[in-house]
Amino acid sequence: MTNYVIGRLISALITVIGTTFLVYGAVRFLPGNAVEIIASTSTVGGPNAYKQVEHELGLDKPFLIGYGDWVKQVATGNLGKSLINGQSIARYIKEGLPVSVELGLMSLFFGVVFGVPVGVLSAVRQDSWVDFALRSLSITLLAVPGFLIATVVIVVASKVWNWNPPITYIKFSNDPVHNLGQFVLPAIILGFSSAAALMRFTRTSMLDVYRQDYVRTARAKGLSQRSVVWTHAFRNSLIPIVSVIGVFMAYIIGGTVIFEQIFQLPGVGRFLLSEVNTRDYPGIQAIALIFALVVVVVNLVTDLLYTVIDPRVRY
Amino acid sequence: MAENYWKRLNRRRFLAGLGTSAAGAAVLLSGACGSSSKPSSGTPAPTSGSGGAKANIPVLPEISLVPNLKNIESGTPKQGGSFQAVLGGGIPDQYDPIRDAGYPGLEVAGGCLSNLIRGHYPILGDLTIEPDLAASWEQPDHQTTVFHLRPNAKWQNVSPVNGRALTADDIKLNFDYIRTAQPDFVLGPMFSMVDRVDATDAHTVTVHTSIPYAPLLLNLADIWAKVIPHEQYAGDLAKQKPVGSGPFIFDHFTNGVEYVLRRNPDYYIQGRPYLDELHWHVFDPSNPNLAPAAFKAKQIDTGGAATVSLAKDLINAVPNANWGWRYGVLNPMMLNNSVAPFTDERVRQAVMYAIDPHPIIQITWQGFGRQAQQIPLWYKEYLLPDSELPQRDVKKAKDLLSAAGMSNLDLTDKTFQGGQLAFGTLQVQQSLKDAGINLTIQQQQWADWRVNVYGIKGDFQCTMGGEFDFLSLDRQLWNSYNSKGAANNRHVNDPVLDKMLDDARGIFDHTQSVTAYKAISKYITDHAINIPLPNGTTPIATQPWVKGWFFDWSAGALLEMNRLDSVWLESH
Repeated sequence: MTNYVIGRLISALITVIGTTFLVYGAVRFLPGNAVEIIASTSTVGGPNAYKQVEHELGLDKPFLIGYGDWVKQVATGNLGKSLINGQSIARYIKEGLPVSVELGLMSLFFGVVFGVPVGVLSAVRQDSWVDFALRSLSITLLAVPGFLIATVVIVVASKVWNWNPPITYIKFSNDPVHNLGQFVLPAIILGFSSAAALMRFTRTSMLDVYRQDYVRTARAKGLSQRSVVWTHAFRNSLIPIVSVIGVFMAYIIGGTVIFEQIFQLPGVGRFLLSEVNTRDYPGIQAIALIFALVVVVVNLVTDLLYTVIDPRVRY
Repeated sequence: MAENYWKRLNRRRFLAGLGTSAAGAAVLLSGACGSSSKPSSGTPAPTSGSGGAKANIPVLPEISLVPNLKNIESGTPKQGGSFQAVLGGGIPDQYDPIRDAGYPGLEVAGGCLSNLIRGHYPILGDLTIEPDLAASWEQPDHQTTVFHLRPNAKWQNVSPVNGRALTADDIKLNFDYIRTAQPDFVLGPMFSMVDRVDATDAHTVTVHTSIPYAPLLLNLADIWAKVIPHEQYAGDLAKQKPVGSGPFIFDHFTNGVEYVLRRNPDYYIQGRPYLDELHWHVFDPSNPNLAPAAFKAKQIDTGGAATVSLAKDLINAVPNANWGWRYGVLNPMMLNNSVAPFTDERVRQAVMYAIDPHPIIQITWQGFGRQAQQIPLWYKEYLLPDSELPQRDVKKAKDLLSAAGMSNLDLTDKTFQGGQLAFGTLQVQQSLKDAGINLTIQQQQWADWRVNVYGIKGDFQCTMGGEFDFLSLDRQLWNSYNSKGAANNRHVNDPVLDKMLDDARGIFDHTQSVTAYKAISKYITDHAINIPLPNGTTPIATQPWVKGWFFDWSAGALLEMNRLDSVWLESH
């Protein structure tokens, strides 16, 4: 077990190093001349603007030296300053990260709460009209992009009830009830695709487990349907589902970028879009790195959870 | 200097400046009433058109296109209230107008920073210049302007100025700041002729220009010419937070969502501002449904519909809202006058005669477009009569091409992503075909387009996009068409035009000035140096309980940012 954990940690570390390489290298290798673009709008104008921007980004140094400097800087919590207005990037991320995390976790929560039980129900009622309806629903939710659903919800609510989601962000520490209320709608809609995919995974996994001998034995012993489903079948069907939830986290993080735009939430996704528009590379680098770290950590936690969910797993 | 100006445009500002693009529904404030003072004695009256656009706007049957000014101006102003407005164009990049703050940054900073003098262009009135920090001014000769500051003017009571008195030395330093020789100091070219600024006493400033320069006052009254304390000059301080002497103090912000200003209790106009708070809300500019939904839900007081169809929905939901429809920014097809085939005037003219404006009016602007000219349509007094405007003539276009030895012409239009639909590019492409001109459209990433096409390199034959309209026609035309102009992105080098533009700068007589600028406009048109495409308008609604102003488009749609102190809210 210890060896497994150490192995996974090393693997995660390698992934993080690779990610930092990619994030740092993107400035150098992206199509178009990033320095020229920045030099044309940045605060460090003047006749030497190009060289100044190169210096600001560490691009006047050999790749490995520049990379090392940047990693050192990031490791100490210094994410750099905006090239557009000189503000600390860390400040924006400190403000925005809790918002994005809250949205992501609530969305995941709704995805699991809706997706897993519905998947179980669909499996238990295999080939019934309930199963058919739920499968159709899941395909629909997978096929229709969440941002479209969100826009339609807002437009319809506006047309029919003159209602609109709140436009002023309320911090959890100021008013937990209103804060959570502000997140419910975007989290549910963002969670639709996760719920739909989880429903299908759960159904497949449950059907697989349902055909196992030990489930048949449990039935033969005269155990109740509830006991067979939830005590014997469900837990064993969870293993692949948990691994999928980790993958969903990456999708949800991507989704927060758009949903924060639509629902006026000041998360890092919204900040990322603004930074991309202005080619503010320090900000883009910082957010990309953070998103990548979140995905790595979530996957690491997911892997470690295997051993908790399935006692048979002993690495 | 020329290449520096080109660096100053950003996509947010550009699209928002378009004003009519669904992607950039900029929502701005406007002072439809207020205490419009007359210019001081000796000041050339910059009256430039009635601004009343009602006769030119197509009629939506459901709406009266002239705002209910009587209602807007009725009642006794009430103190208090929190005003909710939509911030146009996205997220503020920074807040220093002198250093090229983008559109959203300008809107937020507009309430916090004062001008020396300010412009006012009411929808049914004339453009006037009003006192702001300067209570009065006079021009003893054509190269000297004396400003008398308000004795009670002080900076806001926030760090780093902490409520200290605003004196003539501050104005002098501000002129020096404006003229800083760095590329992002965008006002530099318009004040380069300022020779010397003297702080005669604590409340008197004398500005000397090296040449007789008539547009000085208009340039000072435009929204960019803000007065910033010297404590903010170092590094990026002025970019990070707007600190000034304006009616509102920048209080706090939630990045990308909301920017909150609070009342400045020490504002130099007694009793103003009326509002306690001013909230700017950012809506995703790529989703035009969001702001109208918030307007219908009464979450915002002004903001609107980026399209006519959305406007119709709002009209039904809020029938007594006041609407701003004035035609704003320019929408030109920019030709690179220094590269083939546009070095040949006949080719430029052929393109001009081949373009059919009607599909652009009908499709791009949903029937609400209007044929444009070289200067903004709200400069009514300066517009050429229809008889002097070119009409579509495909045969003439073909003849011109034939005379130039180019019966079949292949052109490349470089536009940025999103620009293809926003400017009528596809309709231009279609109509040019009739004259045997094949226009290939190349879409580029915004930043690449800005640098390589519109910007430094000028690597293009033709391109399309919106251009700001400025209060001063000198800034509008000299800067864009003089070979020394900082925004000469069409790469014009025409000695005749240079002279006309130079001469116009020194004309103080209003009638003569109108004549001169009309002649310039006609020259640019006749020689097809630039091809104006039809303008559109963005319908913007303001709630009926908002008094003292309503949203209106004029002078880059930001002119009335100078007038936020006049806004008050009726109980609702």
